Amino acid sequence: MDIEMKLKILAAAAKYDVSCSSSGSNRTNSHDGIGNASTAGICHSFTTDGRCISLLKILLSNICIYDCSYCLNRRSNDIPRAFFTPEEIADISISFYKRNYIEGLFLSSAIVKNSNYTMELLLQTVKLLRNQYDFNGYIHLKGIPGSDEKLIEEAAGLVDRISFNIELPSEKSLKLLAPDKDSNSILTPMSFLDEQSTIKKAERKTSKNKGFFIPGGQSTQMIIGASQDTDYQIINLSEKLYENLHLKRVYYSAYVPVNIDRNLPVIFKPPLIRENRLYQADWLLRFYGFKAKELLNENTPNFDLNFDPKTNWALNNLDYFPIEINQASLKALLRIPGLGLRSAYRIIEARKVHRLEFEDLKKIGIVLKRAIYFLTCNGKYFSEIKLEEKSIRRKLNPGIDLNDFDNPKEEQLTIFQEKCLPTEEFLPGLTGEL
Amino acid sequence: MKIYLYDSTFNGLLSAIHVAFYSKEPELEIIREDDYLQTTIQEILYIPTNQEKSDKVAQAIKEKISLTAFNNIYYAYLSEYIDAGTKILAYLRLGFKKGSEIDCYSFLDEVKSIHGYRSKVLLEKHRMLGFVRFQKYPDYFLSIIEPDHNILHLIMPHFVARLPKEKFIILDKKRQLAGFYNGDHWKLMPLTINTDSQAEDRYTLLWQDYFTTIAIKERLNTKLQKKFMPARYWKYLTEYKTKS
Ligand code: SF4
Repeated sequence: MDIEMKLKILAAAAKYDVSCSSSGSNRTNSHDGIGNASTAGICHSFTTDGRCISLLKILLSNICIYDCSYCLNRRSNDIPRAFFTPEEIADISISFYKRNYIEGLFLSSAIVKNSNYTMELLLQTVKLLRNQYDFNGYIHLKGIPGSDEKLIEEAAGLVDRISFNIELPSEKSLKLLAPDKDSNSILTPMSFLDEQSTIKKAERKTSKNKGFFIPGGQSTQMIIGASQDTDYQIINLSEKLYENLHLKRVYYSAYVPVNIDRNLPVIFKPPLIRENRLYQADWLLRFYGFKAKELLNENTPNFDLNFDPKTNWALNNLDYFPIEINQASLKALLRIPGLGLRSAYRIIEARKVHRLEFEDLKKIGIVLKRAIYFLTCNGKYFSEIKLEEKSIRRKLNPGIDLNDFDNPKEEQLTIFQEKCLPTEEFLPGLTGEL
Repeated sequence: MKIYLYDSTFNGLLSAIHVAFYSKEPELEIIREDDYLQTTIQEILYIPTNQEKSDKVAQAIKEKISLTAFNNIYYAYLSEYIDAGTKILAYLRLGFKKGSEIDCYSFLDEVKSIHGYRSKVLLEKHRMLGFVRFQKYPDYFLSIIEPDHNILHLIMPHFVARLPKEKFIILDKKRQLAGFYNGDHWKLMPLTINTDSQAEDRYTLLWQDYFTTIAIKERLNTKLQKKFMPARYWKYLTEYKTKS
């Protein structure tokens, strides 16, 4: 099989893995090598689905001994299979890198023969790139669950980031959809890497060991909508992963219905809005000082997709509002729906020299569409409607029910096809102002 | 309204600002001579570049306002917007009154426009780190770009750190300016190339295949794609070249 064919097969097989970022690592090049890794991720291109291409994302092989229901590469699927040699991967990575197509490599694999065999091949590829080719670009390696800690540790000494994908947020769903995996085989290596990172960091301080150990940390991914798990379960798990295992990122990937399986829900399209709401909630956990239990609870375990998670929270906590722009702390400003980090800092800068009037907010670029209902400026409330749940809900309602739109029943499909969503508000992986 | 023309260099702009500060002119515009379109009603003054005056202005900005303010006007200058010079003058006039707090006044137009220009330049610089595409020639790599703003020298150090062992040229076709790196150090030189056609090799084609393969059709969203990667940059992106 020629390289062109292999690349097509093994890139297609990897494409549902969402983590694209090359950020979080900062290394300068040794003068003889190739490449550096910069802290702010660099996107080299954007696919027609609007996702950033930063890394060459491929599988070493899509030949798998496992049979996970949601996965295109499952053993029981009749699809073309391919296998890259470590040399081929190194050659493509270096050639793409020099042409500035990519920031580095994101290498993963299906489980060929067994976990250790696969992990060894991945390690061999990484070694070839780092040691033989002096490649200093970014490498994100997928860890293979169930492989030896020794192999994992060695790889961690060479690559920028390692991720073990959790895929499903509960043991129950794993049992149902990925019967060959269990959460221990995923969480154990994650906590092993976390411990090692702490040890290595301490060692670096006492200068015993100047070695390199996943400077970009760990990340993981969860599939959204392939199981019955609730948003509450998902963000609770994310919160724990950030707090206890110090993950750099949790990625959420709307399930694309690639297989038909009696254990899988029947869905007609990937739940992109839900995915987006989870990213927004994730942002709130990491940068806005929110706790998972503030956003959802046992009684309301799923987001109302019509509103972003912060607006949802605000509507349920109206006694917290209105917030006075000229006095509020950073923490309080960040509770205002639609007012993000950048806006909050702008307000804090500007009010050092001037008492802000409502007009000033517009001038410094604060988007008031949602914020206006939740703030006062010099004691004055500017919205034409009362600070009252029902009225605000009515105002901010998107017009169509996004809960149905995201997860349509068969008979709704044609109705929704004609409607367009305001794409601006639904950036995958997101960011911006919440 | 009086118009000051300068020679398009940053020192030239600072020299013009020096003259502006000492003149009693209440309203004046500062424009690059290349941008100036002759009309009859305006009074023009050509300001020659003067290193000493330029240094004085630079130092005064850094000491009496802030280093950030100095960087801000430099980026605004690189934006090459026709009114950048005039806006920089207004920002500095206010800056000398308000001192180091000037950048808090983002609700005032004088400050807001400079911040806006700076952001545009920095955004494009960052984008270009990704959108530069090198074509392989026998003993060097070549990239052609046509950025909106004058950012070539801002991105050169990044590529030098990235490809320390290669020889390469990045050509800003719009400004006929090239960054040369010979494997040891880099410099900027004027260079004109007329062709847009670029070398193609096996990896070009592999990249095009890869680009098409990894899009998820169930998530198609070209509006979003264009938002992040505006169509004006596509001309030199290998992935949009049609296969030969
Ligand atoms: S282990 Fe499961 S998810 Fe991974 S490639 Fe094999 S079938 Fe797919």
